[in-house]
Amino acid sequence: MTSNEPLFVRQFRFEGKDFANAGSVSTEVKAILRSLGLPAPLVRRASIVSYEAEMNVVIYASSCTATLLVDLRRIVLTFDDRGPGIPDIGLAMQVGYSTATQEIREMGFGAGMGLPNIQRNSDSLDVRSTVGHGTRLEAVILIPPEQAS
Amino acid sequence: MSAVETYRSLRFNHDRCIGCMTCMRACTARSIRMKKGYPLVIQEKCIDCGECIRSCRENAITSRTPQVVDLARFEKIVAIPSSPLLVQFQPDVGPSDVAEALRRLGFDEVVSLEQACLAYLYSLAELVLSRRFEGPLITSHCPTVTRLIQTLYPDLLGNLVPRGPPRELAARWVRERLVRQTGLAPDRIGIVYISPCPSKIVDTMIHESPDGGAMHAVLPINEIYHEVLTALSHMRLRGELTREGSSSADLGWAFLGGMSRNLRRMVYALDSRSGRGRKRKADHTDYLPVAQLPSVRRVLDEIEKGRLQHVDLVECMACPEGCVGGSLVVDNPYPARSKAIEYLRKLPPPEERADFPSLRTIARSGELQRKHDLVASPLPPLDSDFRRSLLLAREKEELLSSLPGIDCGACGAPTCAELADDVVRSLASVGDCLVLAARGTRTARKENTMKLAEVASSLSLSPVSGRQHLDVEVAGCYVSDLLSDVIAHAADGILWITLQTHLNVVAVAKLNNLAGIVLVNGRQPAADTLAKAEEEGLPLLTTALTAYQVAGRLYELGVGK
Ligand SMILES: Nc1ncnc2c1ncn2[C@@H]1O[C@H](COP(=O)(O)OP(=O)(O)OP(=O)(O)O)[C@@H](O)[C@H]1O
Ligand SMILES: [Mg+2]
Repeated sequence: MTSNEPLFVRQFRFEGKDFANAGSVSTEVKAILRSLGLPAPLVRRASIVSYEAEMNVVIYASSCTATLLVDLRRIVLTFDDRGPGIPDIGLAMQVGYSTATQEIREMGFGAGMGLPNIQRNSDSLDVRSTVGHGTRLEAVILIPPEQAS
Repeated sequence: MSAVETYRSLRFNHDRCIGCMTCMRACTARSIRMKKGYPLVIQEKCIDCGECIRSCRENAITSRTPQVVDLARFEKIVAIPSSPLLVQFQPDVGPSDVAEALRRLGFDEVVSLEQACLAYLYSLAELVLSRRFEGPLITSHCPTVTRLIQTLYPDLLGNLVPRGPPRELAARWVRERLVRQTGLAPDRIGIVYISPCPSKIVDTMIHESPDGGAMHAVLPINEIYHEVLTALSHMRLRGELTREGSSSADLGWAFLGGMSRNLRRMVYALDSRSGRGRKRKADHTDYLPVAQLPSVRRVLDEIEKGRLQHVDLVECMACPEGCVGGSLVVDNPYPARSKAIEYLRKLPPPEERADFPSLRTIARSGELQRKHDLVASPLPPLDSDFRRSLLLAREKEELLSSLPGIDCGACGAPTCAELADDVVRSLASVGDCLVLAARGTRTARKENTMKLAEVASSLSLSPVSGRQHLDVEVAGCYVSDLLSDVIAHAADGILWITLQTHLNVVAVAKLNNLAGIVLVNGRQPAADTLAKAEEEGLPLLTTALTAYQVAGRLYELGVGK
């Protein structure tokens, strides 16, 4: 990337178990992407990715730094959390796999759809995790070239 | 469309306004700015919720209403009172008394919304039972909620109930009937809606608007209230509910949850009629009434994220307790609400007065359809060019981090974030921030120098290169477009103001160790100039201001004096 290519970066810090504020990161992400004039379907995909990732942190982890990065070619969403980590990422990525408690299920989560949803809505996805330490999720959504011209 | 943009419901009375900013802070859409001491509305952002009217302690904000004298040109004048008017008065005043009072005020006819509401409920019940929609349906008879969705939740437009409001249907019906009965031309029949909210005034009066068309005028409840009260005081009150044989269909529209209650009954009735021994869908139908914009927005946020899928219908109202809490009503919403609830209990429920075959005919006729589709009207992006938008978004972030973050409102914007947004959209200047200005002057006085970053933010200059060197101290400034003149007269730490954008300016600035270069009149550096400046770490700053303005502002700040 050349040094004068425009680049937008915004960081968010938030805590796990904070259900009262859950969803605020993705709401903000949506507002920023809209203000950039990106097409609605792209904005929708990015806000689904950030919502699912954000909710996973709120439900399973304890604290998180999320980053929204936008340049002329792509939107990159990174969620870096402190938490229990995911022992088997392949398994977690499967539709329907969930370790959500009864309590969480009663709130309407725990269908095991979050990660698959993220996968489906991003052009590339990288999830890494260290058990007992935390999880880092990076999703990339490509911006069609005609938008950037 | 243009009419939607130009016809707005708000009027600010400058004789009464004391510039207290209460309305600016109350505005949930953040559409109000203080300019020259008075509130000004950013039209694209306003959703006519009336929160400002409600908040103003000086009564300086009124709803713009069409001149009532217009009505003189009509042969017959019909009033269509919205249901909150019927429950505005003392307990012994019944809806029939309110109708009689309106007749005494000169209306030839007072038309109830009941039949139109019944038709609406029926068609909505059919829709709910058909389950031919994805995610919850969202009611669309609160125009503020509809406008909120058009501006901020365009993805949810498809969830809005695809029906026009009952008042439009009622107006069309009465006009058709009177034309038939009296032989008058349609334009000789004036129809006046009596409204609890500014949003309905806008909707009703704009013919181009999705729901507008059938009405000639709208009277705010608070403007007719005292006349009605006077008329009532000369009457023998009968305290009756409504016409013989009518149902509670329209009263459900007055308060939050009333419509859902009526709809639930209608869904049950319809479902059991088409029964055939199958499992009843009506048992598994969920309704969610929500009032007030912050709560409405939370619910819309959730729906947008694919939650609340189990809900079939969300009844969304912008005002506290629904329309009885409209910003143009007089009575406290709570007595009005309990009165409406009491009537709802006493009157026959809608399904008992529903003539199903004829309601089905109306539903099939498409009469309830909106005249126009609702289209998204999202807030404009920072720039129409994506690249520029990205730069501006970044500039906004940087600006925001330099602003005090206390949302004091003294700049004329409700929050620091809104000021930053206004600045990058060229609607305001960072200099409007009194907190920063106070700080800036202090630093400048002390040393007569100022950091380039501060200069940039005070004047809203856009750094396009050398961002890592914005902490350099600016010792003074020099205005010239002659390179030799600059080499001769501008020295260390001087900020150079020029309209020259070619490559040589970088060399000159480097040669004389200048603090940076301000390119005026909206000029952008040539590509090679920009690359060179970036390579040399030289700050180039662009601005739409003229050299005179930039120099004047720097002089005011005390830089180099
Ligand atoms: N940030 C995280 N930290 C720890 N474990 C996680 C994290 N994210 C996901 N997981 C694990 O992966 C599983 C699958 O996640 P996924 O988001 O696909 O489904 P879910 O959260 O259980 O249900 P849904 O997203 O449908 O509400 C979770 O149940 C959890 O065990
Ligand atoms: Mg999940």
